[in-house]
Amino acid sequence: MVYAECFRGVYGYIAARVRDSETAEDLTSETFLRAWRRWPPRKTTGNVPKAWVYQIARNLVTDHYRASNRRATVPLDGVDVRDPQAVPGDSGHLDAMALQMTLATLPERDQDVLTLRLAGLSNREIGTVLELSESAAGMACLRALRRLRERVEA
Amino acid sequence: MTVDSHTEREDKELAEELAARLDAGLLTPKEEDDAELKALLATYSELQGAVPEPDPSLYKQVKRSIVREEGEQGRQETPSGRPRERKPSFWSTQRWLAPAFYGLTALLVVFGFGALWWVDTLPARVDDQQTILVGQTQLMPDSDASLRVVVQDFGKGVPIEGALVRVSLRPSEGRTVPLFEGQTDGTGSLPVQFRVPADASGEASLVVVTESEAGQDTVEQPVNIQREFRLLLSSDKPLYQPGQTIHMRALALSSFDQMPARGAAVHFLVEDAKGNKVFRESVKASEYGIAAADFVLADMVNQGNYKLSASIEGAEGDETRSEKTVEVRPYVLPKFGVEVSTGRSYYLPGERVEGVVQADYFFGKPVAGGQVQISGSVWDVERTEVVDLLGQTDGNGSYAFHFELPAYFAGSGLESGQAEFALEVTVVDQTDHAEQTSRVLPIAEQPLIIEAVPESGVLKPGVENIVYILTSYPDGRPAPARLEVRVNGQEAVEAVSGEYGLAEVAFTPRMGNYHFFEIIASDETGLAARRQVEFETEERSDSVLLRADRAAYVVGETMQLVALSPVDFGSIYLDIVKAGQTLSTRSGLVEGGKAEFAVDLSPDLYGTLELHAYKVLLDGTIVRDTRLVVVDEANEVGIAVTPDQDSYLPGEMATLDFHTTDAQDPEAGVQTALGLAIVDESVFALQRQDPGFAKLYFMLEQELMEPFYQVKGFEMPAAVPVDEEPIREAQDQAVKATWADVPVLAISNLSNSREEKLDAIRTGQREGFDRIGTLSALGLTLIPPVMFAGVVIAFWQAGILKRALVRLLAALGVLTVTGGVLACGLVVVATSFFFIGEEWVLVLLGGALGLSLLAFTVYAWARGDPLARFLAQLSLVWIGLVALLVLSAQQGGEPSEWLAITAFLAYLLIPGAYLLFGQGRWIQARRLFGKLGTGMGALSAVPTLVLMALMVLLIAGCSGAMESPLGVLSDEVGDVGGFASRQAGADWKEAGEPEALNEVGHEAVGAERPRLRQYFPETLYWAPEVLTDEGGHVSVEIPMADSITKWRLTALASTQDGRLGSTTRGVRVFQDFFADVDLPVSLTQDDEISIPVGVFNYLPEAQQVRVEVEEEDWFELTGPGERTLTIASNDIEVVYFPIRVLKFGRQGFQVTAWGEKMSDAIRRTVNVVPNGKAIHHTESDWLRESKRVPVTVPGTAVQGATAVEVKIYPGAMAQAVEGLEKILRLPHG
Repeated sequence: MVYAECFRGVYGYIAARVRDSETAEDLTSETFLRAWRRWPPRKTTGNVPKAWVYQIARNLVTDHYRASNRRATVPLDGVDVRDPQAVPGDSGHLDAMALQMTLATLPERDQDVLTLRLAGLSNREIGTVLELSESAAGMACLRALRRLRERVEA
Repeated sequence: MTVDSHTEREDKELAEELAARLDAGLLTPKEEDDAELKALLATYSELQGAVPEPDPSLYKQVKRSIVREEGEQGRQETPSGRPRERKPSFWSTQRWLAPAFYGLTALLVVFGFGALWWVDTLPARVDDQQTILVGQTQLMPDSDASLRVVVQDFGKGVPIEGALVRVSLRPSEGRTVPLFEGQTDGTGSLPVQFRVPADASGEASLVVVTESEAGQDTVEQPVNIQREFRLLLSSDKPLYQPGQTIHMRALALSSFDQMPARGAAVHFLVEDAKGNKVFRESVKASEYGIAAADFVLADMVNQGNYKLSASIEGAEGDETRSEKTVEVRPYVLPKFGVEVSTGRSYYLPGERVEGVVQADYFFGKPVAGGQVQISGSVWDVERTEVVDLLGQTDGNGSYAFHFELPAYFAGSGLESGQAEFALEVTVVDQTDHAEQTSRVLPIAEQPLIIEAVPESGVLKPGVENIVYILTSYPDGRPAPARLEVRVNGQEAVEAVSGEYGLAEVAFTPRMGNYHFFEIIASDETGLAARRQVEFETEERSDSVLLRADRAAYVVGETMQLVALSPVDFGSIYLDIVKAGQTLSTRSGLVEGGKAEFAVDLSPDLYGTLELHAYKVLLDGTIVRDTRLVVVDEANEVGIAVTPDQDSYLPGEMATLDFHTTDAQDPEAGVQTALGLAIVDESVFALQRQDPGFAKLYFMLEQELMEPFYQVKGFEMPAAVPVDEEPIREAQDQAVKATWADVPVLAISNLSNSREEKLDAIRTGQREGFDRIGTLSALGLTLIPPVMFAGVVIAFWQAGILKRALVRLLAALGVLTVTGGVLACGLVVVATSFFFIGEEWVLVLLGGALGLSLLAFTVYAWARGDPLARFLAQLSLVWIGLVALLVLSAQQGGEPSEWLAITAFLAYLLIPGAYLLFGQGRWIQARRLFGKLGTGMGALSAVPTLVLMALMVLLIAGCSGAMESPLGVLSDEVGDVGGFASRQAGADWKEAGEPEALNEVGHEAVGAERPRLRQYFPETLYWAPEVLTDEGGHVSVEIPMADSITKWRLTALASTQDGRLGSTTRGVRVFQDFFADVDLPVSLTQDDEISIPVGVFNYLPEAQQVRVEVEEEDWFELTGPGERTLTIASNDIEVVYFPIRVLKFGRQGFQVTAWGEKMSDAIRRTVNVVPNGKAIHHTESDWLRESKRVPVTVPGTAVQGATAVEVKIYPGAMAQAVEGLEKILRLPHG
């Protein structure tokens, strides 16, 4: 149930954060295996399974970057945007790529907030994942979106 | 517009509105919306379009993984329907273990390389002080010994003065004994004199400690302390018949001081002609060092050369052995001897040969009227007879002959252009008995033979060398000749080889050149010869040449030595070595290119001395020269033998008086032990034995008995000094030339501390490299299983092991097929199109594997996959160990073969581990690691496949090669079967021994029945040890045998203080009238033969003689059994008695010759063999308490001719070993 509900979002979150489809697949697989092995969700997540799964995914992403000792970078190739309309040479494809690159330049917290939101989490769930209040999560989302927009327009 | 321009309240409201829109999915802005909200919604909308979508298959794959994990682990559902919380694993809680493991393995590799560097640079850490020892390793207990110690600074190349030297002896067991302490002189040298402890024995170490400002050295020189013995093995005669007794006598003396080896166990051994050990006995040596043993030959023995040996075991089990070969075969002793002499002892082709044949009976009378046949032959491609003469001996037994030699001979290159002409002479006496002799005449291409030899064997550069030139005639006689010697084509130097054919030419050669000597010799008669020889020069700028004034000395004389050196600097040291032990060491400064030594020859220097002269150069090398001299003791033993009669009758008792005296003073008796042998002289006509070399044998080292250069006219015994000065000088020259190039028997041992240190370090290096190589191989063996086990355990914990293994097997199947094809394809493409060798294909594959491993490692660390990290880390350690193994192997540190093979086989698990990892990760939906792992596995498997194919080919090749020798071996072992020999029993009697000895006396005259002569031994008397009294007197009573012959008496005398003497003389047994039966070696049953009986009359008058045969049942007379004849004085007649042989076995034939004045009766024995074919049959079985072996004799077998021989071995191995010894002894075995 949780798996079906979260799979696409978790993959989207991880893929948006690591920007490498194979790594994203591995981390997605690892996220759900860990969730399965560590079931039930921790109390800190307010017994919200969805938030707990995303917290696992976020930790894996953090471990990934920590292990590789680098910040997130955007590869110039290998962008896997599953937009059926996006074809090479298409402006939509280029826009998506530029947007992803811009997203990667944001602070990590902003990236987390936006990618979690894109994965379909509510402010409350985002707050649970990031250990924030619901209103703080909403404010973080607003500010992250503002900064993204500013950088896109810049 | 910036964020800061908004108030907090407005932001909060905007955030709530944004959240509401996003939650509701209303991303399309409304007209009334704030502009910022519109913009934000647009941005979010665009961003949403950029979110990546997962691969549709991924969802199912991850789900399957979860479901599989759930199913395989059998996890129970909780009441809430969710799986129970899993207990954290040990590894996940002990997080420090992984870094510790990685750190430790990396540290081990780093430590390995560090150790490799440390071991490799060991030689650079050796200090510069060097200590050089010059001495011998052989020491005698309770004797004076010496050695020389030289201390130098290797770095500065200067000797160290005042260095403290301490010498001690450390036995293998017991306490170290200090021997000497001193300081080096200005040349850095110190002669060390010490006395070897009396109780020291066996292996020990001389420990030399040197201390100087430059440092300290401890040099340990292993030495062997023991008494060495020399053995002289003698037998009564050189030739035996089956059934006779071999008498052996061994005299054992110390090789150092010639003292008898009292109480030592002397082991006698006899091996037959096929190498079977047929006799073994240990005898304790007497007070005089004498041991004796008798071996009775059986009637049925292997005929041929028997090897007699005697040996003494030293303290450490090493053996001193003396061997002697005797021949065993049936024979008939010759009745008379035939000598051939020619006018000259050599001839040129076409010359006339004149000579005389002389035939004499062994009892001293000439063979008168004998028929002589002389045949002469040459040997080119085959033997060709070119001379055939017939004649008759005169009353003195002589026959003079002459003939012309052929004009052309095919000379042999091995004999320096000399050829041979063979003369065979047959003499038949009046009794129709024939004897033969042969003589080889040397035929020379040149009338003179020239030999040349430098005094040191090779030319020493920069100093005056003496080159000895020897001229002789082809027969070996010295040739006095005028010599012209031209060196390197320069002006000729004249010299004269004197009465003894010896000349000396002085010559100073340059370094490193060949020098050509052209020598022309001509004698007074106009005979001339010419020869070219070339000599090599030592390739050293400095050298030493040692020259002694004589080659042979007498105790009490002073030996004058000159050591020459081309470099007028430093010291020359002289070591005097006897029996391997340095007795004295001296030094002399080089002045005027030479150093001189005068050595007083005290009694302790008696024997063969090695004189080592050497210089120690500043780089630690030693240049040397060695001379051999003989020092004789003046007081040898003389033996006087006095028989009570000049001639004895057969069977008469003889009394022989022996008196042993000091050779210098015949009046001074010396108490000795005598070894006596009295043997029929006719035996030596068959084979020569020279018993008189005992003294020289012990004085000269055995190796010297075969000189490199044979000086004609001076055989080895001439080395003992004689009194006449001119002859002695000639002898000295001859012996010097003879021994010029004799190999040094006990080379002064060199012990150089620097070399030892370097050797020790090199040994340490080898051991270090070996250990590094072995540990690396061990690591290489262990790592792959650990890798594989790690992956297995991880997937077992993850619950996917079974599926992963199934997939692994499938992958291996695919890989085995495709990988092999790929590998072959790579090789073919690389070699055919890019012209790259196969080894480079492997290198390229290795490179690709390395790069892949690097990428895998980076990714494993980046992704934080613990299992991938584990594999990557161990792979890197494995590569490090391979590098260590290769580097250590390049330095000679190779692991054992089995470990290397195990490591190689273990490597196969690495591709397996990676493939399993890849498959497992694939199952876990971690595709990237799945691909990487599988790729790594495949890549690492390809070179493995290639190498395995090569190994299979190699093993196939090896096994093929091994088949052949195994086959040969089995064939050889098969030959061992059927071996049989016979050891003589103790009850066998000497052939010809009488059944009952007659009383001593001679009564048969006229009509009285004459005394029957029937005891004809070849060895009349044998006494290995007869002691004289204090005055050197002893009398021995010996009953004479019935042989009418001359006996050869040999006496060897030895004293308790090691002095020796020997003598040989004849003892005659004769009667004026006698008969003799000339029987063949054997007869065959049913033979019909006429037996010749010779009648010898040396009475002053003629007499009528009736000769009658005693009839016996083993033959029947086919003619008259009695003949009457008249025989003149000093005449010989022969009568024949025809018989038919009826019975086989050892039979006697008795004849009585009745004379008017004197009669004689004789009985001789002959072996009669059955008339049939010998059939041999062998049965083998185990002998336990008792064994019955049935032997079936066919009814057609000759009655009484069957013999059973039983041989018992201690075990099957003994029989096999005996057979193998025989095989190994054969030239093709």
